[in-house]
Amino acid sequence: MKAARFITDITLLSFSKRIPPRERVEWAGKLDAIGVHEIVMGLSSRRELEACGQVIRRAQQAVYVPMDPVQLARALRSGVRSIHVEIPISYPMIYTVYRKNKDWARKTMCECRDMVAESGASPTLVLADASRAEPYFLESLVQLSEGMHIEKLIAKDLMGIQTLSACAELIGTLLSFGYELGYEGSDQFGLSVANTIQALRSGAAHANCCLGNVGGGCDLRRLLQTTARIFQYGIDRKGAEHLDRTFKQQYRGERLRERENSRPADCRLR
Amino acid sequence: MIRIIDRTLVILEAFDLPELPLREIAELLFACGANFLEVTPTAYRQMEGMQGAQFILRIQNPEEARAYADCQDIKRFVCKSRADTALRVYPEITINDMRDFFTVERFRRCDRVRVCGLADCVLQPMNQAFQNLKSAFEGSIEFAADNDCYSATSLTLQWTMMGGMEVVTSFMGMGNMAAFEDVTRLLFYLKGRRSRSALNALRQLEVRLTSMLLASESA
Repeated sequence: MKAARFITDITLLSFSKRIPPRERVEWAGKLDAIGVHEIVMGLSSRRELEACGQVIRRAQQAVYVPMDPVQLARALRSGVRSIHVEIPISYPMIYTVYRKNKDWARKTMCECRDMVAESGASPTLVLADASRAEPYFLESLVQLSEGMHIEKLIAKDLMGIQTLSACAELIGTLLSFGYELGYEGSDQFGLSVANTIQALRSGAAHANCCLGNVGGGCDLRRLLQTTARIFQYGIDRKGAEHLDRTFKQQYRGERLRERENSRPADCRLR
Repeated sequence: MIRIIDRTLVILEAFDLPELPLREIAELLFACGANFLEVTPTAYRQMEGMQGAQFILRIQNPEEARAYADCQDIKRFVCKSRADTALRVYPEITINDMRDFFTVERFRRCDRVRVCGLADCVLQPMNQAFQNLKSAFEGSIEFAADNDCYSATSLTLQWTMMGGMEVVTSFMGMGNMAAFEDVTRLLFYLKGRRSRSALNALRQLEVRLTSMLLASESA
């Protein structure tokens, strides 16, 4: 019997700026129709989120927010049940993306935890740049989240240079925290499908994927094509392939621009 | 030292592009960090005498190697499923399952073998699969994973992480292989292989080859 795994779609999140709001709602409905488990989108207007909520029938609708109390408060008020909170888990990310330090990360984490606990929501913690996290810091931040009712953890690789063995090791470490686990690979160097497969084989239950290989994430069609004989995703595979083709045709030019912009300068990686 | 064998030129030749600038591409590939270029006899004749170049000649029959025995820039010869140690010809074999006892046993004693296939490794306990592969052959292994599971680059990287020394790639993964540019960059970041100037050359190569392929497509 095939093991059950779940697909979290991040197309609308990764590609949100390139798709007009009305089309985003349409795509949310189409993704729901093929049977993805969860559809993550950015924190857009309340009206748009409600419109998406109406077309999403089977899947879980989720919004993604960075670790920022103001945005988290907005997300909690938005009425969407599932919230993905990005936790910068590596020093390079805290220092270069957020331009803060570790103490800020701890303090803000506690602030977010209190807000979530007060609201009674069950967030998903997205451990951003988990592949470069220092194990001690990773553990200390996850421990700080005690008191929150965490739905799951998602290990997010940002650099796309994670080897298969490093991916398995990271998943092993995160599983020891006792939460349900997901994985989001990066396709900067063509490793996302292999790393996602490795994560799923190592015990992660959720895979973050996107249509048409946008935003550097794992390509849904490729993952389904490769692992359909070992995992059961509850997805209409033919429908997913058709949707992938349609998406690529519709946003071909936009995808090329996105890819050009997302390619990091070589100097930034080292 | 990790050695990259690049077979971009063999694949480009199959595209039958008009006025293919073989020498220029070969020079860029060497500058980017390829150690050996795999070429066909036709392409080799066009590039003969290129300074500092090291080639692996793809031949159809081990006997063909005799004609090139004195060529200093040909390191060795690769031939599909056939070997001849005296003529420096080593076999290229496809293994999709280590239980393929017949193929493994036939080439076990070769001093070098190129192993293709292996795409399914990503769906199996990989360390075990790689250990089995290493112990199956007595000689050196050139690792040439297929990209059937979209994992060739990943498997190639993992092979080098587990001590593998020779890998086979092609630009943009043409011919269902690991992508040369990705493997080169990943080995630079993770293993410090080659210098930053190689990455600059890589950008030049990407621009040159992409424009060439796009031009041929539109024509």
